[in-house]
Amino acid sequence: MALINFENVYKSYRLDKVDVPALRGVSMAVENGEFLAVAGPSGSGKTTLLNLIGCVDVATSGELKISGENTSHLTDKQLTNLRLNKIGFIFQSFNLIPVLNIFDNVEFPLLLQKTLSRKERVERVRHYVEKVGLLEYIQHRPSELSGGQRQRVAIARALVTLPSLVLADEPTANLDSENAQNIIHLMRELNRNEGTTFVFSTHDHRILTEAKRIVTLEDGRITSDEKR
Amino acid sequence: MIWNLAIRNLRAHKVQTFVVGSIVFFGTLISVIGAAFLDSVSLAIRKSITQSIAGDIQIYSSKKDVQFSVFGNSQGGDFPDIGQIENFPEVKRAILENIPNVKEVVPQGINFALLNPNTTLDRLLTDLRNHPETNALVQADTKEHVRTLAQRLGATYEKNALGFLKVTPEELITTRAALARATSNPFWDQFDSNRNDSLEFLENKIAPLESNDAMSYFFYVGTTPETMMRAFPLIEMVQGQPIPPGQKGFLFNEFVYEKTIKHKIAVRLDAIEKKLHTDHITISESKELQQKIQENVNQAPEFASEISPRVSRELASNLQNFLSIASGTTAELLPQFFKMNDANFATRKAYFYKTIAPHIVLYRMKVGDVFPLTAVSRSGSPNSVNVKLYGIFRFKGIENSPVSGYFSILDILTFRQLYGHMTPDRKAETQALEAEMDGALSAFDASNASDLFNQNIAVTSNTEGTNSSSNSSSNSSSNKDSNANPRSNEAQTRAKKSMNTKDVDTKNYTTQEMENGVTPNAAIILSNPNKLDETLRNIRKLFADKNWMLKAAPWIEVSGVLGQAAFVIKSILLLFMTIVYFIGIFIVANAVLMTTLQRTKEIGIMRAIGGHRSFIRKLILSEVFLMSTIFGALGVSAGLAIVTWLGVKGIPSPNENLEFLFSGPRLYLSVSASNLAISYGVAVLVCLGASLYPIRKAVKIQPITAMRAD
Repeated sequence: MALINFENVYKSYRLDKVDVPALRGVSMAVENGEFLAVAGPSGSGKTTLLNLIGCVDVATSGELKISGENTSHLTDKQLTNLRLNKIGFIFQSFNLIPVLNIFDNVEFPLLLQKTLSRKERVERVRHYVEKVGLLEYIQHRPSELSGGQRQRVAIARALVTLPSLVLADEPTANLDSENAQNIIHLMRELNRNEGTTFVFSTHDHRILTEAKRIVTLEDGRITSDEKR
Repeated sequence: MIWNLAIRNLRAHKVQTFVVGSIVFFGTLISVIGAAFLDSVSLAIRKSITQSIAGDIQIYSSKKDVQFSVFGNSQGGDFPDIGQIENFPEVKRAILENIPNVKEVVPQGINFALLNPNTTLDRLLTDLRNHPETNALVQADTKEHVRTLAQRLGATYEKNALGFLKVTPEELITTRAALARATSNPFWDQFDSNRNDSLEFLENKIAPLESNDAMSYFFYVGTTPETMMRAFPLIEMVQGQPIPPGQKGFLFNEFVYEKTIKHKIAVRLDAIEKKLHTDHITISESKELQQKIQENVNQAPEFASEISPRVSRELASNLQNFLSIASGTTAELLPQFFKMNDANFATRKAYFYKTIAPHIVLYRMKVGDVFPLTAVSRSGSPNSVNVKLYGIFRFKGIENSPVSGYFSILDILTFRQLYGHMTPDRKAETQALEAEMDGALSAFDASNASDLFNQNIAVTSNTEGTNSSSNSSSNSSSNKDSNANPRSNEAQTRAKKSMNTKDVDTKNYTTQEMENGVTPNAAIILSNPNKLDETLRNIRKLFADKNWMLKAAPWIEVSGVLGQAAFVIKSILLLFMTIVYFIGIFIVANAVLMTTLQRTKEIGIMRAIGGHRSFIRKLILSEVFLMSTIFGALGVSAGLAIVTWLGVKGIPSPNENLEFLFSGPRLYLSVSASNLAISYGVAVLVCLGASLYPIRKAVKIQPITAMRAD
């Protein structure tokens, strides 16, 4: 069973009494362990696609199944649980909680899960912070870190719950090219070593070269789906 | 984690935290002070009412359907007939024996009285009559004084007779003749040769012309004085002694004594000084004080006439020196003297009391005096009885309050006489007196013959029956006047005589005699006033069991508007607090909403990475809870500190009327632990309540907001 399965998915937004289509009949499947980039120009529907996969939005029509569950039929609570337990998020603007330090930010989803003991949490958090190479900054506030460092914290936060899927919406858009490369390498490494599925959107060609599969969107439709 | 996050959020949003915190802080502060004020005023009112007159519980007959108030109704001083407690001694015994927590049962009867003290002329004539043996110099001075007063009366009479008095032409002629005689040389030359007749003429014809505007009105509680004094701890003697047990007698309340028995000019000077001291105003800026000064100036001629001619002459030079004026008589100088201003008030007032006051009657009644107390009986007719003034008391702490200040104390036996409840002894006496007076008057009527006027007609006094202490006769020249209206004139004189006679009942009465009689109501004093409700139930049950037609009312029900005052103040404060809290809710809700909306993105992120709505709700509630508990605790502490400080220093009463409510010139605040807890709890609850709307907004924030680029 595919991790993600799109069946003729439509999504439109209402803007000034006019329905603006964002996705017009998308069908595709993503398997476990993929490292998939969604490419395309601005307004092609990349972010909408990721929002639907991330369960922060639901399709207007068609079927989107995540781990076999049709997201259109889930309650807010169920969607939240799905986000909490199955999905990790990496945002374009990092989106760390500013009042919390690095440790607390990474620990945050574990606390929401309430499944681990304190000791286990500390171990898990330190493991991932170490993995993204920021152990020495663990007590720092996000504002004390550089953009690249912040995004690495976000990656640690996204992975700490051991999600089957990590979504990254333009994770390198706010970074210089060196940092962008580093982030992509880190993601690739985690994908390779831990088998985590990554779906990220980007229009940076240098980063696209790292992807194992590139889905290109144009005007809400998939125009190419290229595996490498 | 929520707490950790909440604390960090509060720290991060310092402005909002400060705004909400301040609201909570001042809210609890005001609420603590308000509650303390309310508690203290309630306690003070209760103290003022229960420890002065009312007691904790009042009992009275339930036969009449009237609302009884010990302080009179809202119009003041209207005491309806409340009937009486049947067989009071038995009721008292039953209550004391059967009801625990009852300390005293004090019989009471409240009524309105007036007092019409002697005028200057009355006083001088009494002196002449009672002390014919005093030295010639004093005698001459007194006579001259009477003569000057008669001259003065003549002048005012002419003015008034043609004005509002509306006298008949005959009256005008006779009165003019009498005045002419009283100021003539021959009359005074022959005064001593026919002393009794001359005095009689002055007493009958001249003295009644002097108007008496110095009537004093007040209330009194008829009671068994020693129980009353024991039961009501606020009563404190300031002069004289309590009424001895078993004796009839009267105790003046210092308030009414100082205000109405003291000379009016002195009362005004006292009032001005008090205003200057307590209100920190000056005469030049107060219309009210200027008015008082003017009233003193206006009264100066009358005042001058109260000083004897000899003293007047002596005083003139002293006044000239004091005022630095080269010439002038006392009568001329006094109006200038009383025209005081801010610069000279203090020295003139001191001079008044030191140099002038000793020559006039400063208090028209003194401790030890026997005087006629007039009251309206139950049937509505005025009734007078001689009573002895044993002393002057005050209600400690509330001595300046007019509410309780107009209540004096009278023995219950005299109360019954005045109210129309006669003892058998008294009834017999009165009948004898009436018979005698009728006899005398018919004798007077029957004989218009001149020889009758030389005959002594016995005038009776209350207790001794016929005596010869005062003789009534008329000489031929007053014969014609008497004919004008002999009965009324003579009756007037008689009434005055019987009152002026210092006869008073000095019999010793037993407690049984005191209590065994009409008792309109009774005050019950409790050992533990906090058990009021329980005791009230027990008393009512006792009355029901015994089938007594009696009502038992808590103090708050028998104190009229005063009892309600506590309720009104409570309501106003409650309303005020409600408004404060409503404003508080509004501001807190807004501030929390503001922080929430500012953190829309953050909340969106938390929702996106798996935070449930319940998590967001808990987070905001925790923040508000933390803020309200911390700042609430600070507010309560600050409030407690202020209340404690005010508990030592006291809040000054803005005016005398409020002193009753404050139970003294200052209100000393105190606050109960339960009120502190309530203030604290309400503040926290109000804040949590205020955060409901922002929370509703917050949980609606969609996780998708996190995905949007900044």
